[in-house]
Amino acid sequence: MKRTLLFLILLFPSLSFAKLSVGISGPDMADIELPCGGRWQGYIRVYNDGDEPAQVHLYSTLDFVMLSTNLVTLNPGGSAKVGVLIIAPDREGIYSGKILARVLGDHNTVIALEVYKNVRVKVFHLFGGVGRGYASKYNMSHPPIARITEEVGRKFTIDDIREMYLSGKIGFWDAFGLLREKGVHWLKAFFLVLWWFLLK
Amino acid sequence: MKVEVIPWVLLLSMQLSLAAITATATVSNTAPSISNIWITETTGTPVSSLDPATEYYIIVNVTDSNSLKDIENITLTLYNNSLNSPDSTRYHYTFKFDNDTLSFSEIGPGNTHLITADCSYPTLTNVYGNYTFAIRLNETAIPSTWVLWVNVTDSAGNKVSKNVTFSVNEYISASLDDSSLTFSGSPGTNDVPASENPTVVTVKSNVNFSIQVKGSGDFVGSTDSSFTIPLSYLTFDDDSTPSESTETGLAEKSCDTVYQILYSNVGYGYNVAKNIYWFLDIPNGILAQEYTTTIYVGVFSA
Repeated sequence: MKRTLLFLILLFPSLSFAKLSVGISGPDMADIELPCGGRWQGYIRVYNDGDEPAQVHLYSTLDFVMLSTNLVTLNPGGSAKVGVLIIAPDREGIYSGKILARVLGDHNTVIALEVYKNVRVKVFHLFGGVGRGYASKYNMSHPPIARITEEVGRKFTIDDIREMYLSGKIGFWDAFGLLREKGVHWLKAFFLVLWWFLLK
Repeated sequence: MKVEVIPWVLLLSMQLSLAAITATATVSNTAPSISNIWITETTGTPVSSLDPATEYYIIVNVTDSNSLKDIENITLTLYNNSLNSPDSTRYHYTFKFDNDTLSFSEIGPGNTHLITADCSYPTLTNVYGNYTFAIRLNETAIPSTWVLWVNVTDSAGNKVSKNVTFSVNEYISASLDDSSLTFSGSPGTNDVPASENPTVVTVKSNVNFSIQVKGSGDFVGSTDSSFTIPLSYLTFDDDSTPSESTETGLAEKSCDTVYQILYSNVGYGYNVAKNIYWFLDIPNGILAQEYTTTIYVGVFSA
């Protein structure tokens, strides 16, 4: 009997249950470059590595970084993919923020556990200064520029620009800037995009 | 007479020998080829970056004119350092399909990174088909560019290989063994330890990280909210002695509404455990009641 008691006493301190648990992963979002109004779509993945089900609250500290959901319930060992949509603001600049994943305790003086993913977005105007040679100047790994090159190649035509504008992949001034890059006179480019605008 | 009989005997024996000729076609062995390699989510969506601790499929499309029965084995090596480096959870993984046993196996670094139940091979009488390896990288796999090297060997010893690159994303997962803190003491008592001390933070991560603490605001009385305890009266430390005469570890810190770093640049790892000890100064002149606030523990990449 003494032996059993001794065993229990030794065993007990080594037991520790994870009461709160949260993890985060996903593609790098610290070097995104977008034209004004441009979009970037990606995801984060959240995890519950604990022993109990977890409600994971998700927040973005940048108002133009949107998440497909703000609350995920995960079973022990579970994970979930949450969509991230970034629509670049109209003002140029470098924006830094975080996507936070948080789980909360459930008592009076609670402990909350947080992990986060850094987000850094460089927003620029395609029109004016950037248009010429932008394909090599700017990182091509993010939409919509990557999409432009993927879909039509680097030598895109005026028809391609119209197609992208009408399908909403690029904005008015982006289309204008791209036309200027093709060597179209600014007045002609303006009225051409205006015509497309009316077609929309 | 004898002279005439001999040719008939010869002819007859020739006819008999002609009837015994069998046709033999020798088929040579041709080398297999790897037509394509895909990395996909379990939903089938192709990916170029992988999250640790998440299941993915690596699909290898193999062609062999001698049929897939001729394939001896297929070896997958995922590495960040070099092809022939030893297997490790951080840098190098090796998986194999063996045609003799029709089985998938993890050569290294362990036995938890290949989900054999989800692996599959094609009909072996076909000349081409997909071999699916279901893999899950360890939480400590280095976030960087990796190479997936595929080697196919047939029964004649012909070997072909193909490789693709992919990246591994950053991963941080943290657990706490407490979900609340409890301090009990009389007014005017300093350094009242939390009955939960220590709170153990356990981290799985492939990047170095810091552990930080903040609070939502002052402790507020639950029945009479005009009485509060300043948040700065809550302190935290890496050891059970809040203020040694000679600090042996990290210095005790006061809680604030912005994050304060307790542990900085902790090395990545699997189940890295760190302790947080909590202490509260209970001021004089406050009502006996429960006081509450929310304490945040943040685990962030360094």
